[in-house]
Amino acid sequence: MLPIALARTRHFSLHRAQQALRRAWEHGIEARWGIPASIAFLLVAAALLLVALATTKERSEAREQVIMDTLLAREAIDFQIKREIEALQRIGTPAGPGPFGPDDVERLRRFLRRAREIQAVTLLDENLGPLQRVLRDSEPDGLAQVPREIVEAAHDKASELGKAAFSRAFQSPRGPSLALVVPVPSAAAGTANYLCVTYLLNDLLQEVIPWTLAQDYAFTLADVADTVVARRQSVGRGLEAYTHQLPLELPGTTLRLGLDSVRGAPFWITSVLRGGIAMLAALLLWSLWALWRDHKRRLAAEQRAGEEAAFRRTMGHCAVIGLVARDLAGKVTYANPAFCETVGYGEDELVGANWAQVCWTAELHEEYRRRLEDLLHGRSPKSAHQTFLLRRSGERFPAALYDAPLLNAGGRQVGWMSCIVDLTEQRQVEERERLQQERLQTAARLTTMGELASCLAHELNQPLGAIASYLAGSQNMLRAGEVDHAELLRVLGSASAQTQRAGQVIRRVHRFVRKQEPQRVEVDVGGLMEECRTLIELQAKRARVKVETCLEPGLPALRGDPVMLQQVILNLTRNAIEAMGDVPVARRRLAISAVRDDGGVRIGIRDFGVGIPPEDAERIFSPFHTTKREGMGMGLPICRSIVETHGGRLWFEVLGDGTVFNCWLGAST
Amino acid sequence: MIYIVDDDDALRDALAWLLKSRGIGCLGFESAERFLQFARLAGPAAQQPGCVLLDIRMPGMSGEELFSRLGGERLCGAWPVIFLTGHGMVPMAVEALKGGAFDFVEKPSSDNTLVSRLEAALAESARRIEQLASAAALKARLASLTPREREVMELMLLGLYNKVIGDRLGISMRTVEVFRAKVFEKFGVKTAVELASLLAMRRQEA
Repeated sequence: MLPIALARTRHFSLHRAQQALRRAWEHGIEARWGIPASIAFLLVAAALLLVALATTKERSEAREQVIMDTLLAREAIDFQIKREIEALQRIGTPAGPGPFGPDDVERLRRFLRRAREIQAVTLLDENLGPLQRVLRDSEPDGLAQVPREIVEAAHDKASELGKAAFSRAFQSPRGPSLALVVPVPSAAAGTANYLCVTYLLNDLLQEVIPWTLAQDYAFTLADVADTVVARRQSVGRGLEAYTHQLPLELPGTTLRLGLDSVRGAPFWITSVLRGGIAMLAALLLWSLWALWRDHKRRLAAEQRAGEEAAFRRTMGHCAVIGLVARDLAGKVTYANPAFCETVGYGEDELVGANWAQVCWTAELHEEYRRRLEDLLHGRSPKSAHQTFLLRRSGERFPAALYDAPLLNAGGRQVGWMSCIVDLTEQRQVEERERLQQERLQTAARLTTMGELASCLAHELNQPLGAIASYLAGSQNMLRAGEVDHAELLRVLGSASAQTQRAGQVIRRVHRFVRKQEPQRVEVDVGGLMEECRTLIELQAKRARVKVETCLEPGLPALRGDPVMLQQVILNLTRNAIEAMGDVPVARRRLAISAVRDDGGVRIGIRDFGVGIPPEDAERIFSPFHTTKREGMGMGLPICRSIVETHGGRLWFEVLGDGTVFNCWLGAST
Repeated sequence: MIYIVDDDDALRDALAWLLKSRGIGCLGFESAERFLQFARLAGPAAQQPGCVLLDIRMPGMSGEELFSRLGGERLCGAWPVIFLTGHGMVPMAVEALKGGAFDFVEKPSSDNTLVSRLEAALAESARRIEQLASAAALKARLASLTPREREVMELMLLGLYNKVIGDRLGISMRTVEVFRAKVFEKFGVKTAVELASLLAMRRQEA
C-alpha cells in the first residue's frame, strides 16, 4: 500500500509541477514583463515619497526659522523701546523749573541721534499742550504735532499705569506713528512732568530690526484691528509661503508684528520637481508599455514569419517542379526535393555548391547567363528557357526554366529563383504522340482509300456494264445472222472506248493508292485538279452536289508531293460535300478555284453548306475534334500538317452562306 | 417499249444496241427530269406495254425520287419499273421493291438476263393494261345501274332471298326479280355467284 501511495503522491506532485510549468510558460510574457514593470512602479513611488518628505522637511524647517526670526525681531523692538523709555525717564527731566535748558536740549539731541525712530520729544504743560519740542536732526518742524485726543488717551493710560504708556497707532503727516507719554520727575518735588515721544513706525522697523533678519523678510506691523499700519520691504515683497505673526506687547497698546519670508517658495520648486518626476514616471511607464507592445508585435511578426517560412518550405517540398534559388555568384541557397530528385543530388550537396558547375555544361550556361541578363533588362520575354541540364550521372536531360530575380527585403536583387521542369517525360510523350499521329495519318489515308475504292468500283461498273451490253447485243446479232457490218463496227468501237475509260479509272486508282515516299517534284495545279476531278465528281454525284471548277490560266507550278496534295484537296472537298448534306439540293454547289496569290497559288474550296459554328471554329484543326458521326477528327489536322510541311498555309473563312477553305502553297521557284 | 433512264450516254447506247439485237424497241432519257416530262405528256403511249429501266443514282433527281413521283402522280401505272443498281446498294433496292418496283438489276449484269427480265416486265405490263381495261369496263357497268338496281344488287350480294330484299326495300318480290334480271343483264352474268366474283376482283383492285 505504501509504495503505491508514495507513487501516487509523486505522480500527483509531478502533475502539479507540470501544470505550474505550463502555466508559467503560457504566462511567460506577463512574468517576464512583470519584474521591470513593478520595479518601475516602486522607483516612481520612492521618488515621489522622497520628494514629499524633502518638501515637508524643508517646509517645517523654514517654518521654525520664521518663528524664530519673528521672536528675534520682537525681542529687538521690545528691547529697544524699553531701553529708550528708561533713558528718557533718566534724561527727560529739565534741570531747572520750566522748559529745558540748553544742556537738557543738547542731551536730548544726543539721545535722538541714537534713537532714530523717534521723531520728536515734546515736553507737555499741565494742560497737556506742547510746551517745548526737541526734534531729531534734519526733522522739519510743524510735522510733529500729535492730535490732542491721542495725547490725552496716552496720558490717561500713563497716569493709570503710573509709568510710560503708548497711544494707539495714528496717522501723522510723516506716516504711521505712535505717541508715548512718559512721566518724568520734575524739578519741583512732588509733581510730575510728561514727555510725549512720537515714534515713526516705519522708521522703527527700519532702524530697530537687525539687517541679518531684514534681508530675508518683509515686515509688517498691524494694529489691534489687524490693519497693517507699517511695513518694511527692504528686499522685496514677501511670498506668503512662510509667514508668522506675533503680538508686540507695548505698555498701553498691542501691535502685531508679521514676518513674510522672501526666500520662501519651496512650494513651486517642489511642484516643478514633482511634476517632472511624475512626467518622468509616466514616460517610463509609457516607454515600458511601448517596449512591451513592440515586443508583442515582434513576437507576432516572428510567428508570422515562422509560419510563412514553414508554408513556403512545405510548398517547396510539395512542388513537383524543381525550385532552385542561388545568389548572384551562382551559389545554391535553396533547392527543393523535386529538384534534388531530378538531378540526383542531396539537398546538403547542392546547397552551397555552384550550380553552374554542378548542373550545367559550360556553353549552355553561358547562353543561359546571357538570357538572364536580357531578362533583367527586359529584353527577353518571360517565357520558359528550354535547355539541357546535367544529372549526377552526367546524363543530359531536357528542361524548361522559368526565372525570376530574387529580391531581398530592401528590393535589391540578391540572386535568382528558378522553376525547373524536367521535360524528359514530356518529350517522350510528344514523341509517342508524334508516332501515334503518323499512324493515324496512315489510317486516315487508308480510310479515305477504302471509301474512294468503293466509289471507283461504282465508276468501273459503268463502262463495264456498257461493254457487256455492247458485246451481248453483238453476240445476239451475230447469232441471228442478220449483221449490219457498219453498225457492228460502231458498236465495237464504242465498246473499245469504254474499255479505255475503265482502264483510265483503274490507272488513277493505282496511281492514287500506290504507296509513295514523300517526294518533292514540280506539281502543276491543273494536273493536280484533273487527278482529283474524277474522285470529287464521284462523291459530288453521290451527294447530288454540283461541282464548279475555275482555275486561273497560267498558274505557276508548285513543289511538293502530288499524292499528299491530292489527299489535302480530296479531304477538303469531301468535307465541303458533307457540309451540304442538310441543305436543299438546289443549293448544293461546290466551287473549286485556284488563283495566283502572294507568290504562290491559293486554292479555295467553297461550299454552300451550314457553315462552322463559332464553338467549333477554334478547334477545327485540333486532332480528334469532329462534328461527324463516324469521323475520327484527323482529316483537317493532317491536311494542315501536310500543307505546313509544304511551307504553305491552310485556313478557312465562314461566309454568310457557307464556308471556304483556303490553301496557299508557294510556287516552286 | 423500254424506257431507259440513265445519265451515262455509253450505257444507254449499249443497252439500246442489246435490246435492238433482241428485237425490243427502246427510248433513252439522260435524266429523271426528262423522263418525268415525257411521262406527263405520254397520254396514249402509256396505254402500250412498256417498262422503265431506271438508274438509281443520277445527278439531280435520283431514280428513287422519280419512282415515287410517278406513283404520286399516278403516271405510267402500266409500266413496271426495274432499277439499275451499283455494287453494295442492295438495301436501297429492297426498299424500292417494297415501294412497288418490279425488279432490280445489279450492274454490271449478265446482259441477256437483263433482257429476260425486261421481257417479263413487258408481259406484266400487258397484263396490267388488260386489267385496267376490264376494271374500266366494270366501272362503266356499275355506273349504268339505277339507284334501285344498285340497292337490290347490294342486298343480293349479301346472300339474301328475294322475299327478304322485297321486305327490306318495301317492294314486292316480283319487282325484286325484275331488278335482279336487269342487273344480271347489265353485268353479262347468269348467276349471283358469277356477279359476286366479278365484283370481288374489282374490290381487290380498289
